[in-house]
Amino acid sequence: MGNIKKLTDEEILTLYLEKQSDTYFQMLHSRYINKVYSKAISLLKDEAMAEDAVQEIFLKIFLNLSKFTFRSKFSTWVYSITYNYCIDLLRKQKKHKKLFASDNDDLSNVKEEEVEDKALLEIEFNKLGEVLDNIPVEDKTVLLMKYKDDMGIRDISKIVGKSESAIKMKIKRAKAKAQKTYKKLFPSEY
Amino acid sequence: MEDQNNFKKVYEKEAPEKLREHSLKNAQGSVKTVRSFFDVLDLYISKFFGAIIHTFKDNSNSGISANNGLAFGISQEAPDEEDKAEPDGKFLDESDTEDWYSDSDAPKE
Repeated sequence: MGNIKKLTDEEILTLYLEKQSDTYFQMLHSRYINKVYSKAISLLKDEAMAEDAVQEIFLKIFLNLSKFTFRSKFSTWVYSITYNYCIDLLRKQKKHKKLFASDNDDLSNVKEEEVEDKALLEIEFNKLGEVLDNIPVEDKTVLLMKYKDDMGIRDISKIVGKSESAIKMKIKRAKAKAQKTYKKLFPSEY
Repeated sequence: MEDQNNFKKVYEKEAPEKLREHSLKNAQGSVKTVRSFFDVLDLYISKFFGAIIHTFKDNSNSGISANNGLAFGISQEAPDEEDKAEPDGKFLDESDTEDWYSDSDAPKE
């Protein structure tokens, strides 16, 4: 029990499913509450909405723990539920009704050149936050999934309901938009 | 040296204490409610099917009339050997329930 903190999420989950002990339940909750909250608030941009979302997301997570198949990382599964929930909430809002509904982005001002990962990953993090807040939520979501949560293309495609090739294109375009926005917001740094 | 990735640092925010407590209690409470719901459901299902099987057995033994059988939608033909209930009246076995009732839902010892 002394080394319980060193256990992986999957090990804790296995113990929880075997023993149904509140201790393991609390451990998983405390490992993920900040992560889920951060994601909810970054996408929903409203504290009260994010707090309600967190409650619902944790309900979904814990009521479905026995359905987790251990084929992916537990964190990926938790983030999938989080993104799915937030995307659904955003879709219910009028202005985001068509979130991930179409591939026809407004590309009139976006050059189709490949932006290197390094160019984005090394932007100072508070400026990066500002950049992400100034691109469409759809682009922000795929960039966070890929670069913050290390999700694979397949996982992202399942969450947003698009083909893998559509996701690759979406990420490429999102990177281009982010870079363009960075240049616009911080011209002196470029 | 690991490549720099500032996406890892962006949007890191601590959940308010109140939310931490509420969401934990809420989730724990719901899991327990669902678990006890399934315990009760399980109990009722076994009692319900147990009662039906017992009625069926009693009627078969006492020579159920054709009219009674029709009224309850029971075939007038004698049941096949394999359709007969177990002597203890049990209807469901483990394999019948495993799809929708996992071990994790079982009550604590």
